[in-house]
Amino acid sequence: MAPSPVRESDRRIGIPFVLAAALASLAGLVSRTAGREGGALPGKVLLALCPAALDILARRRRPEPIVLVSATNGKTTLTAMVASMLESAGEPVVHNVTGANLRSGIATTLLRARRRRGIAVLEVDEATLPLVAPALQPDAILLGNLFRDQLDRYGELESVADRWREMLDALGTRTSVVYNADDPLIAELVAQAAPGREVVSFGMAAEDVAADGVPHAADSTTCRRCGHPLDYRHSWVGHLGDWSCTACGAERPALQVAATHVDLDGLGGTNLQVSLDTAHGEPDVVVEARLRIPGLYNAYNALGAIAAGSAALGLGVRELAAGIEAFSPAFGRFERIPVPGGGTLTLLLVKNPTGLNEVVRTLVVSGVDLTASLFALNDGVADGRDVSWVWDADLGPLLQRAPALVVTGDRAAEMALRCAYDGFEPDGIILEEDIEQALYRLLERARTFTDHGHAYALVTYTAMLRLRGIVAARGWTRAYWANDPASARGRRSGLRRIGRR
Amino acid sequence: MSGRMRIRVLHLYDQYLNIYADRGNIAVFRQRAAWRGVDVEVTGLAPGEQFDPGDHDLVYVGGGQDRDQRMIAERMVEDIGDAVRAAVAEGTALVAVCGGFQLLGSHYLDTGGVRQPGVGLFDLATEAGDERLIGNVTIRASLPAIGVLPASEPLVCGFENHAGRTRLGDSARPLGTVVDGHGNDGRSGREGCRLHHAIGTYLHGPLLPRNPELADWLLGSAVCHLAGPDAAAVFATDAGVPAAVREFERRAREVSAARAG
Repeated sequence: MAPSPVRESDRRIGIPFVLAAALASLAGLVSRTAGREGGALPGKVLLALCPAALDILARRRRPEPIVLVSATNGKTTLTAMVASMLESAGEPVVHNVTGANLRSGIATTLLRARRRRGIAVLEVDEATLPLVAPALQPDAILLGNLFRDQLDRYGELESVADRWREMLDALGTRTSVVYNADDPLIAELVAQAAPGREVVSFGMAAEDVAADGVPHAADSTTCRRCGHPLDYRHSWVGHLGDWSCTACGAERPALQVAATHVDLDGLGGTNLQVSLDTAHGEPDVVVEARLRIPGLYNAYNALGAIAAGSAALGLGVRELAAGIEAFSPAFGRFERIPVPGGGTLTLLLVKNPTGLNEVVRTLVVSGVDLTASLFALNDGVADGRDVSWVWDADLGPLLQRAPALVVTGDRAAEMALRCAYDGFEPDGIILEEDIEQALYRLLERARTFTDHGHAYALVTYTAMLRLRGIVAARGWTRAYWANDPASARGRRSGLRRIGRR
Repeated sequence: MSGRMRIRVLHLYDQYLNIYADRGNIAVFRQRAAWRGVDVEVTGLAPGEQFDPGDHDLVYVGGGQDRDQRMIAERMVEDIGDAVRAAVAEGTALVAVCGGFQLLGSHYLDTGGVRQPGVGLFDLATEAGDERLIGNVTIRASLPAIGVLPASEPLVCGFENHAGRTRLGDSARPLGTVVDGHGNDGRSGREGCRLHHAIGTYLHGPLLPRNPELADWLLGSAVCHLAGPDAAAVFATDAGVPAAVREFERRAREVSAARAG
């Protein structure tokens, strides 16, 4: 694609875009050559040199569509699923697969892909979304869920919802919205935004997998309109459910895309049946697919991806199903790493109470042997400096099934206290702050006390990066930045990358 | 005394004021009491309900989202303001964290300039500031003797995240002085407030798991209220607390204090 001419307005601040882009690319190349992950660096350089770069990059992609995906939980998985669907349909895709979802990461992704065709499917951090959407002018935005997450960084849930609504108002009607109607906060903010755009609702209708009552960590239990308590006919994950207000009559909107059947098949995967409302009096179209990752929350991710794929991207049933079936887990999300000598290490990213609850629920429901299990709690900026969130999750079911738990990370002692105050036998808590040492203790437990050798590690974000770095250095798996679209996404893009170098 | 003691804890508006791991503080009451052979019974209170000041030994008030706090403020003053003040006056222990701390002052002036009423237990007022005060925090608390429990000045660590700037009135004394972090207003060097056996503070994280002396002081005042000054002896030492837990506490506090410094 020939670059479009630089407009005078693009130069209003900073240096010309073309020069800034060249310098930023060079910075990325140097960083990668030095063996470092270059996920956000080129974008940082680019935006510093040319503040209007995002607008320019987005404008130059036209008429190729841009789709943004945001949610507290599952946005990396959801984005990768949408990308997988497009790939199954033979469409070239541009997406930020390493989870570089802040402004600089998005700029990096678009910069690297500026000479490539393809639909851009971009994962965006929920606080960043309102900051980048006006520049990107997306064709569609997928709003997945809002859970309480890192209060020190995002502030309170209501204020994130307010900023999303203001963003929709500012974007105008060209941008369509695919949203999770089971999340009362999201359903209401979409309803409150200026009318006139295309909106597509998705949600659960699989009543047999609903939870009994709303769990403790439910974050949104009062009506956004009137403040009265919400009532749930069914709830599935945290406060996601078939809700209605006891006072003002607000209720879950009618579902256009609904999961009618969810069969949770242990840790092996999930069978899904999703109905697409054709809305023209014809029978609904049904998508059936097997998802290779476990957990009801991943069924939600698949549902959101199917809604976006069908409504915003116009994909057919076959491509939707093929994309779900071809999907393999995003790094650190139920990622199974083979351990030399037998056994596996499964990494489970956890970052907020609801996410942790769901990981625990999935592990417990699947009935796996938790003899070798580990919890790594860090308090870096990306983890949340405030570790109080671990106290808001229900660890009980895990602690009742694990005879011992290795706790590690910078805030390991805090986690140890958390378990002890949950009634866990203090002598069963193996406190080892150093993550590498803790990994050895974990694998040793798996070798010594089980005949299958399976170990499970629940890890916060920076702890996950650290653990993956350790196992990558031993050659058990690849470094996470090697997992980017150009290297891990099949032959076509692989060739392109080689060509570019 | 014959039979097991049973501390009666009232968790105010547990459905609304619960965002900063308040459940962790309740778990500490239960477990530290159990380690000493004391039972704890926790009762929740919903908006609109009332309670009798003599019915509880320990009152817990957590923090909520701004919106939930706004909704609750007026009901709280009307429904239970008198009962909270009366309970504390007659020796009931109380701990209020973050939003709960603000709600027990005379008023809260929010970012929109709207004045929300407070219970008026503590002589303090809060006004929303522009920047949130966020981070790890360590204070030197000053806890008076209770029954046979001696007075103490423990270091108390936690995490703070508040837009409110709280200023103490002339009659109020702080819970402690800031060693590292922001405290009530980011300027005065004062943190929290204490009146009789009631304390309010911005420290969560949660507050009590990392600060066993404070937890035991509250439990000591609760049993003092329940069974008289001698009963507090059971919380005067670490006896009963597993050695492993004491070690976890030591290391958790070390990291928390290092983060604040």
